[in-house]
This record gives sequence, structure tokens and C-alpha cells, in this order.
Amino acid sequence: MTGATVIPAPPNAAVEQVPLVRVNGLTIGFPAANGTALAVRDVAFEALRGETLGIVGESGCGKSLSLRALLGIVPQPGEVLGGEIAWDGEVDLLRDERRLRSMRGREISMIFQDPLESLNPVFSIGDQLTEVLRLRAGLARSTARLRAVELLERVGIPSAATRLRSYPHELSGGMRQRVMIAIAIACGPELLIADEPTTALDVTIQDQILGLLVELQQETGLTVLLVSHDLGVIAQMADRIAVMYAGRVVETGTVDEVLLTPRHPYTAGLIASAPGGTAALAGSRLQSIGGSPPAISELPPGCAFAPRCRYATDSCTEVPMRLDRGPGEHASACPVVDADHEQGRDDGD
Amino acid sequence: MSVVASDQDQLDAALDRRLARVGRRSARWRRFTLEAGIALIALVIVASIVGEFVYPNPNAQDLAQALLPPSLAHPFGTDNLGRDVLARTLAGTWIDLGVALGATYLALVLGVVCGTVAGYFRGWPERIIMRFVEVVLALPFMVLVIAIVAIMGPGITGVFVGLTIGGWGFYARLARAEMLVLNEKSFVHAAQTLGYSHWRVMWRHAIPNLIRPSLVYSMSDIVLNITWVASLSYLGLGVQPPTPEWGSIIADGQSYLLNAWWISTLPGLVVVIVGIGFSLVGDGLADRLRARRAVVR
Repeated sequence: MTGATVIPAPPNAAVEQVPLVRVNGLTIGFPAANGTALAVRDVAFEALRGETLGIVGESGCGKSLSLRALLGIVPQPGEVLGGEIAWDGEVDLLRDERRLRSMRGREISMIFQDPLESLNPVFSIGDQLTEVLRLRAGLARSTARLRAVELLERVGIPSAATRLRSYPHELSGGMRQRVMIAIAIACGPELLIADEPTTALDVTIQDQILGLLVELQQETGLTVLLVSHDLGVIAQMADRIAVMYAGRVVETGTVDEVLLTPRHPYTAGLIASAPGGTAALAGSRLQSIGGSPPAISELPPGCAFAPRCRYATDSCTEVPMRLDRGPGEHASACPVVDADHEQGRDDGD
Repeated sequence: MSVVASDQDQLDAALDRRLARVGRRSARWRRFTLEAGIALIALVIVASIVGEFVYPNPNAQDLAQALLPPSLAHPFGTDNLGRDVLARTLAGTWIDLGVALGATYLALVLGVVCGTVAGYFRGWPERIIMRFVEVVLALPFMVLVIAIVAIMGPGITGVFVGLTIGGWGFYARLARAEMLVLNEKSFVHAAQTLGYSHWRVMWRHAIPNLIRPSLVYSMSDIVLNITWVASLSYLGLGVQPPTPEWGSIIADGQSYLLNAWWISTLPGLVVVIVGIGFSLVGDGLADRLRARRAVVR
């Protein structure tokens, strides 16, 4: 049951479908005092049409950065150093900048963590909605206005027609996130990148927003890349998961595989520390992962998690991590626990 | 216990009332500041428009009427050539205000665009633009302007170019600093992810959000520039005689200061009134923008 991660297995018939996006070997660096700090290393993930891929990890692990690379908006002075991003099995988004520019807002769009700051404070929400409709969907002013009302109604904003004249500061956080979603889906994109879309909202609003995303997905077959540090959100939304730590994907698989039978000690640690997770159900105290993530400018040569890992052996600090797998398989970058993960999980409890 | 609580309530209520009163008072004063400033400037401008009709030729000489003190016929008196000082002062408004406003806002536009580009793109555009800004700001303003006027030759064009070149650097700094803040805001990222051009992101989404400090600063800049236009003309570097201009009128009158004080003093007073007017507008505007900002935040 565990050999599959060591020997690249032939692709399953079930995952024959060409993924909408497939990221491979993505590496992003920032200039640092001692050369280049790699904030994202050799990251690979993919998302099939209509599914939700959850990307989990703590702050600064490179989740958001990887997704920004997908849109070509890696913040200065960061730079994509390698890898490829295949769109629909063909275009490499990292190398075809013109195509990417035309795709932004039309085929790929993004919503952000802080709805208080993701709308331009000096223009009404109607202006901002019609702007994207006119510029990116090519609608005339009058049609854009009608479509804007439809979109606001679609995302559940009451009395949409009058709301067009509202300015962002007149709306609540949840409303603003709805408007942001309306702007993001205005041109009928195929891929929606949601960067911690509910982190800044309270729990009831969070549920409504996530519900809205699920509805939209069912209606339009939208593919969603959902970044979150909240395993609860991911468990609720995602079909598959990629867990990131210190700039690498350390484990991928379906939601059930990863959350129920985690193979990487970091994933297991995250689950044990999540309120409402298996630990809480078992009535035991929440466990924290000791220590803190390493600075990206001084990563150890071996596994970046080794210093915090209770299963670490001597070889862990020397042998670099690798995530070997066929497409769509449950895989972990940890050779130690992976080889014997049942025992590891027993020890963990 | 309950007595203490109700005392406390009364105290709180009194404090609330007092704070509300203070707030109302300061709001009233704030509005007054802006409106008083506008009124002062409007007074001078309206007077100048009327002056265009009342005094078709501000340079008309009448040597028989030379050096007359202020009277109903000549409210500001006459100068040594018998020219009406009020007529010349009013005619000078256009030059002084025009050059000062033009230079200030050309500098603002130049500076804001350069600063926004620098802050938005970072990298080499930023390095080049900000190096120029540093050069401009490193030179003393007065020396720079006089040097430019000297190169271009005395005249109104030299003053205009000098004030613009001397003034844009500060706006560039303000705009760049604000742009660096905006770079972190999601709405700028959102505009990028929606596929808008860089130009559109800067023009529609960044500049409207970063221009306020520059607008507030421009109000005090106008005051300085008005005095600069007048000063340079006073020194003979700006407007050349006989064109009426505040600085040159004051300069003309200074040799008669002891026996005809009005020639220099009354136009000087007009400069002061306009200066106070713009300062009040700047203050009032700053207060209002701050208040609005507080609401937005």
C-alpha cells in the first residue's frame, strides 16, 4: 500500500483527464543577503475541471505566492526561477505572457483575503463591476449596467440596483467579499483562485460565502484553487488537498486520504492541532507542533520539517525532500513515516 | 451602589454632551476655514475681473496726477508716473495667480505621475526617477530657480519653468511613498488580476487613492509660488516692466516708500490676502480630507 510513492506508478485510468491547470517544478526566489532565498521550491499540483483543490499551510509557506505566479503577479523583487504551469494541457503560462494577460480576469480570476481592502475605496461598486464588464467582457455601458445588477443579485446582495451606487466603506465585510466574487466571476472564468477568502470574516458569514462558492461551482463548473490555513474550511470545500511547508508541497491526495490517513508528520501535526479535528473528537487536548517554521533564507539541506519532527532520523537532516508520485495519487514527501505510517500514527496519539 | 452608578452615568452623559459640543464647534470652525479662504481668493479674483472693465489700460500715464495718496478716484493712489496703483495691482493678479497655479499644478502632475510610476514598477524606473528627484531636492530651491531663470533669460517663461522644475520632486516623493503603501493593498492586486493594463491600474486605481496628500500640499505650495513669482519680479528676474505684476509694482514703489507709502504697501497687502486665502483653503481641505479618510478607514 505504500510502495506507490517510491516507484512512479503508471497513471490510473481514473485520472486520465487533462487537468485544467498543472503546476510543475515551480520555484520562486527573492534576493537575500546570502544569495537567493527560495520562497517556493519545486512545487507541483494540479486541478481538474470543476474540482476544488485546497492548498493548506501556515503563513509564509508559499501558498499565496505560488498562486500569484499562476497569474503572473509575483510581487517585486520576487522572481519565478523555474517550473512550468500548463493550462489545459498546452499553454505554459510562465512563458506565454501575452496569453496570460488576456486570460486574467477572463479565464482566471482571483479573490483576496481582506475584503476591506480588495475594493477600490474611491469608486462605487457599480463603477468597479461595470469597469471589468466593459473592459474585459467588452460590454457596452448600458448592458454592463444590467449585467452588473444580475451579478450582484447572483451573489446574494439585496436591492442590487440601488447598491450599485454604494461605496465599499458602506458595505459590511461579507457584502464586500460578495461584490469581490461578483467582479471575479463577471467574465465567466474557468478558474477562480481564492486566497483565504473567508479568513477575515466571522464564522456565519464564512459559511455563507463558502456556500456561495459551492453554488457557483455547481452552476458553472468553475475550478477553484482554495488557499487556507483552516483545515475545517478545506475539509468542507476541497476535493483534493496539497499541504505546503516551507515552500514545498509535502503531501497531496484526496481530502479523505490526506485528512483521514495523513502520511506526512506535518500534516498529522496540523490535523492534531485543528479544533474540531480528530483530536477534539477523541476528547484529547489540542496538540501544537513544537518550534516554528524555518526562515526561508536558511533552510536546512534536508527535510525542512526535520527539526520539529518527532520521527526524524539522522538521514532526514541530510537527504533533500522529494515528492515522487504519479498524477492524482496520495503522496507524501516524508520517506520515514511514509514507509511505516500506520505505526507513526499510533505513536502520535 | 446604585447611587454611585447613576452618578457615573450622569458624568458620562455630561462628558458625551461636552465632547459633542466641542466636535460641533471644531466642525463649524473647519468649514469656516475653508469658506473664509475661498471668500478671500474670490474677492481678489472678482475685483480683478471688474478691474478689467473699469481700467481698460492699467498702464495709462497721467503725469499731472503722479504720487497722489489713496482717494475715492484712486483707491490705492497713483505712482510716480501717475498710473493708478489699484488698476495695476488688479491687472497683475492674472500673471501672479496664473504663473503660480500653473507652475504648482504642472509640478503636481509631473511629480505624481513620476512618483507613481517609480513606486509601481520599482526596479530601474524607480532608481532613475528617484535619483533625479534627489538631485532636484538636494539643491536649495531658491538657487535652483534663480539658476534656471538665469539660463532661460529673465521673463515669465523662465519663472514658470524654474518653479515647475524646482517643485515636482516633492510631489514625486509623496506619490511614491503612497504608491508603496498601495502596492500592498488587495484592490491594486485585484486590478492586476483582472487583466487591466499597468497604465489603467495606476491611473484609475492608484492615483485617485494617493493624490490627497499632494493636493493638500499643493495649497501651501501655491502660496509659496505666488511669493516666488512676486519676489523674482521684484528682483528684476521675472516679469519685465511695464507689465503690471505685484512684485514689480512693489519694487517700483520702494524708492518712494517714505513719501508715497501706498505704492508698495497696498499691493503687498493684496499678496498677503491671497496668501492667507490659499493657506486657509489648504487647512480646511486638509481637515476635510482627514475627516473623510477617517470615515473610509
